[in-house]
Amino acid sequence: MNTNEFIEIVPDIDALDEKILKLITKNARIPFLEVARECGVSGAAIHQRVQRLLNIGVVSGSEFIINPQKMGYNTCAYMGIYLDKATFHKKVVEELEKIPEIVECHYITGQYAIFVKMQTKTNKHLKKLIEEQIQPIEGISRTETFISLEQEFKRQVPVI
Amino acid sequence: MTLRNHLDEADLKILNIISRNARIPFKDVASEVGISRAAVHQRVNRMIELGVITGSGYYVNPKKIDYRTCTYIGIFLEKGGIYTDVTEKLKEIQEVVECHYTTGQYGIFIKVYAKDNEHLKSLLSEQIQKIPGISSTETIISLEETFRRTLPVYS
Repeated sequence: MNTNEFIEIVPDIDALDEKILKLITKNARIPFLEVARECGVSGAAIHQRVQRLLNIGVVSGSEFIINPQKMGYNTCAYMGIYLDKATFHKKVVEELEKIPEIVECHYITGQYAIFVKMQTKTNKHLKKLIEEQIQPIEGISRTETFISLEQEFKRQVPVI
Repeated sequence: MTLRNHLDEADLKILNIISRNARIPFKDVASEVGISRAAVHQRVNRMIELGVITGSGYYVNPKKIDYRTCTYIGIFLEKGGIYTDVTEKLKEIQEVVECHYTTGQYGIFIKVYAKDNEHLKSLLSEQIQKIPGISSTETIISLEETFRRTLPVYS
């Protein structure tokens, strides 16, 4: 059996790439000239490096980070999903992806089969979502929800 | 519907665009929304002041920088009162990327990225489980992050 296909090749990232990543992951709109000055190379070099990092998939894009609470999304919850049969997995995930309030979806080990993260406006909204959209999905036998009362912090993986 | 924080239609349109691409020139945002470039600047600054926008960044794919194991860990505490002390200690561990105070069986629920299972094991036994106040942990490994996205700006 060829096992190579299971190995994700880690691209070559040198110290300069790491330095650039450190700066641009904390502020996406930082002028590349400023990054260049800090790294001691030309602005063109930074452009080229960032483009390369995008091309090889190390960075997948940029975003302004929105505070969910300020948008009226006050309830954050995690849910473990049990399936009737493991083979339902793919179909269930397709259905889950149609629900915009589900912001993360994982295929996991342990007691649950699928694990999702949800952002809803209120607890009532959450209840409605579970009752009317998630539980009717064919193949889901039951769900277990826990609500996050407070998100203490959220950040990205350490680059170095 | 009254919009939260007095955000209007134009604000939501701007958020929709810049939450997906932070480096888009504000000139382009302006033409898409149908307002002036200066107005986009002004609105973005206002949303930063209001705390609607908490920052910006490039999104790093953890797998590509050698973080191959993604896990959720449920933490049981010896008693509820030590919650803040424990979260402070957890914050010192770089690999812990999210931390929640939850209802249900666990006291604290965290998301952790590790380089491999061995790294995960050492994080658990040498760092997380050594924090005073943590009685036990339950680890769920994510075999695949099927999708991940930001929440819908439009409802």
